[in-house]
Amino acid sequence: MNFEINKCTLIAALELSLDKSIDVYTKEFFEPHEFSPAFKRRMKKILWDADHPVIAYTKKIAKRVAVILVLLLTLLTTTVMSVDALRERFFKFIEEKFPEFSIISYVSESGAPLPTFEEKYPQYIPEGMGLIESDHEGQLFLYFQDSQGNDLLYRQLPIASGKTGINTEGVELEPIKIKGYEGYYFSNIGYYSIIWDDGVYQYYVSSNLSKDVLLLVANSL
Amino acid sequence: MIPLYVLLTSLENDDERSKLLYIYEHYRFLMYRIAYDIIGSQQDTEDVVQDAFLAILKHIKSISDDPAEGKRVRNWACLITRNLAINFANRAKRHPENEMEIEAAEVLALEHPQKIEDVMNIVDLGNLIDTLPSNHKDILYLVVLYDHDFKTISDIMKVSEKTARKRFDRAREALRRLLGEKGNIIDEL
Repeated sequence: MNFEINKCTLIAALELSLDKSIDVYTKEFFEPHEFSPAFKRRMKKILWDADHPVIAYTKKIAKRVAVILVLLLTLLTTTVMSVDALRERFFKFIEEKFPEFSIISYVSESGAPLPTFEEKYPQYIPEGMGLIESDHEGQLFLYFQDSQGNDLLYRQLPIASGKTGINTEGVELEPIKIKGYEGYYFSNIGYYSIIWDDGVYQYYVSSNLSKDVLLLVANSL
Repeated sequence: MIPLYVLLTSLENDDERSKLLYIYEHYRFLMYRIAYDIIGSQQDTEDVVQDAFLAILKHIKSISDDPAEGKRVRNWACLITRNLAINFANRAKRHPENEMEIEAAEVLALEHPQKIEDVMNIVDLGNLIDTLPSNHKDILYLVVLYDHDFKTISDIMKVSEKTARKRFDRAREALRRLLGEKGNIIDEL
């Protein structure tokens, strides 16, 4: 036998063997699989996070801190507000009892039935903004950004699903109306925000653009 | 399990991130097809492909090649996918390569190898290697071709390091027998 088996030929043969085992899938035509929207969403998040590792890291940490703060607030108070009383009471509750604390918290009435989640999308998004990230699990979370780094965040959450926290430390709350529902406008650390609810869902819009832009977005639901 | 954000922050340069994107854009359909052939259900296959991308993300540093050149990165991504799919199917007992059948295949490969005397070139040698059970071949590929250590392999194959070592030892032994009088060459691997 003239053929010599040595380390090089063995490695080459292993490569050939692996090539063949994969090539077999490429030699015949197959219809590209239409990946499900859930898969695309998850992969988009993985790829986006991979492309923005620092932001992804910060967001993960921020989410953990927010969860801890909300849990802390929940433990600190025994006050439970009904959904009906929520609109009248929840900002007062924060200002009177926890003036030093920076969290607005929704706490649903115990046993309140969960509504079927109906996603409501803003029909107006400022020109040049592209969707960077979204989340549809238990909430509708949309995060837009433009090429200048301006961003816009929209969040819709069922009130009866639990609690949420938003930083309002050191800000003045300005009462406003969004499509007939009472809400509040505030600005903080260069961001403008509007929060309101319709008795079923809580809505939150925030951006570094302007109050007028926020109102356009909020009123386009 | 290492949290995703730790993995992400470990991607230090654009090159690694662009590699991941390249693999996604070019090989996701191929990865899906390989996994689907083993699993047979769309939902489970998509979950496995997503897990494969997380494993790729975690170990992409170990691959220095340009994915656009050659098949090395493609094969690596597909190898990871195939192993995760087999692992998933084994857990669900839907794949013929459950432990008992792996044992049977090993015995068959050991008892009825092609003759080393017939090997006249690399293609023949590749064909001979093809007769090994796929779990033996896959661990040989990962160790010999991709130079992965057993910690990495245990993570990719979702088996313990001990199992990975044992599997590699058995794969080497099977290959040694296949190579007959030339079997000692595998000690150099």
